[in-house]
Amino acid sequence: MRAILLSSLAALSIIAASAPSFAGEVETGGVLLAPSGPVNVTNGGGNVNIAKGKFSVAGQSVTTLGGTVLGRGRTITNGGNNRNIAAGAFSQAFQDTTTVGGSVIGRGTALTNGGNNTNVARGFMSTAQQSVTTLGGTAFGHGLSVANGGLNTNVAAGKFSEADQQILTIGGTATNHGASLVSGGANKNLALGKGSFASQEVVTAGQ
Amino acid sequence: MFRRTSVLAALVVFTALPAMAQEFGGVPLGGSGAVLGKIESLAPGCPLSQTTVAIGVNQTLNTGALAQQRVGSVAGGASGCRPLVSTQVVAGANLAFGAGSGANQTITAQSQRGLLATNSFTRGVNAAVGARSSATQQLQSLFNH
Repeated sequence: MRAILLSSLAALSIIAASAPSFAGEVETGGVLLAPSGPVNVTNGGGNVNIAKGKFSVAGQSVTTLGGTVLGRGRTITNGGNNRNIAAGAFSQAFQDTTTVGGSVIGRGTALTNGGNNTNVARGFMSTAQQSVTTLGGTAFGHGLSVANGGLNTNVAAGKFSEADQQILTIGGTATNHGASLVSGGANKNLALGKGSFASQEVVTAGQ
Repeated sequence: MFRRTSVLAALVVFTALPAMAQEFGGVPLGGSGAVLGKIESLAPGCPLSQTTVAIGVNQTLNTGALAQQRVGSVAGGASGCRPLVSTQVVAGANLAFGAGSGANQTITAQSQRGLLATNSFTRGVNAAVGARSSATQQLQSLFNH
């Protein structure tokens, strides 16, 4: 009996002695700080502005100012995905969104998304105006700059309605063997209602 | 004899684990000298992280009602003190439900930029639902350099 107990205790001590390797694995699997350097994330989009009642007025202004990243960092600026809707008869909806992201100096990545916005005037004699400005990053030195400003929709659906949309997306500069990708297409501008008017201006640019 | 052995075994079990965990523990840093430099450059007394949240809900329910809301948020801390990670959230809901009602909302938040990471989330919902109602919303999220 004693021999059994002693052997079991010996086994326990062996497990305890071998436990450090297990503990070491757990600890090394803990928090990992990003080796790529600083990160700057600026989300200013995703806003909703609706004038639903008759003769109602809705105005929205959203300003988000991001920052600059030094070193092998990343700066991500999301200013798009906004919705502006004038649904009621004789209603007016105004939306102004400004998002300024950061710059990367070093082997960084600057990603700017300012598109995918929707502006709709669907009420009788309604007016919808939307202005979305997204200033993205600049990548100096082997950096990568990506700017997406497209996929916008502007619709004047109500009778004698008016929809006006202005989308400005400015991506970054990529110098010194860097790369700059700019995408601003796939936009829709529709005047569906009787006597309606729809105007759309989409500017997507690098620097 | 049995008690002595069991006590010894218990000591081995309960002391070996934490001791080795401390030896092999800590935060592995993925070989990033820049990150270490940022951490070391943190001024004494400055916080590791800073989070600022400014949320407002402003609404009118009755006819002819008027609701105005102003929300301001400024992160504290000593001057020239920048945390490693800074996060700021600004969110607002401004709703005019009553007929002929008005809802005005302004939310402004300001904080320091983080040495390692800066996260900013701004989101607003603004709706004039009632007849002849008006809703005005302004959201601002700012960071100091």
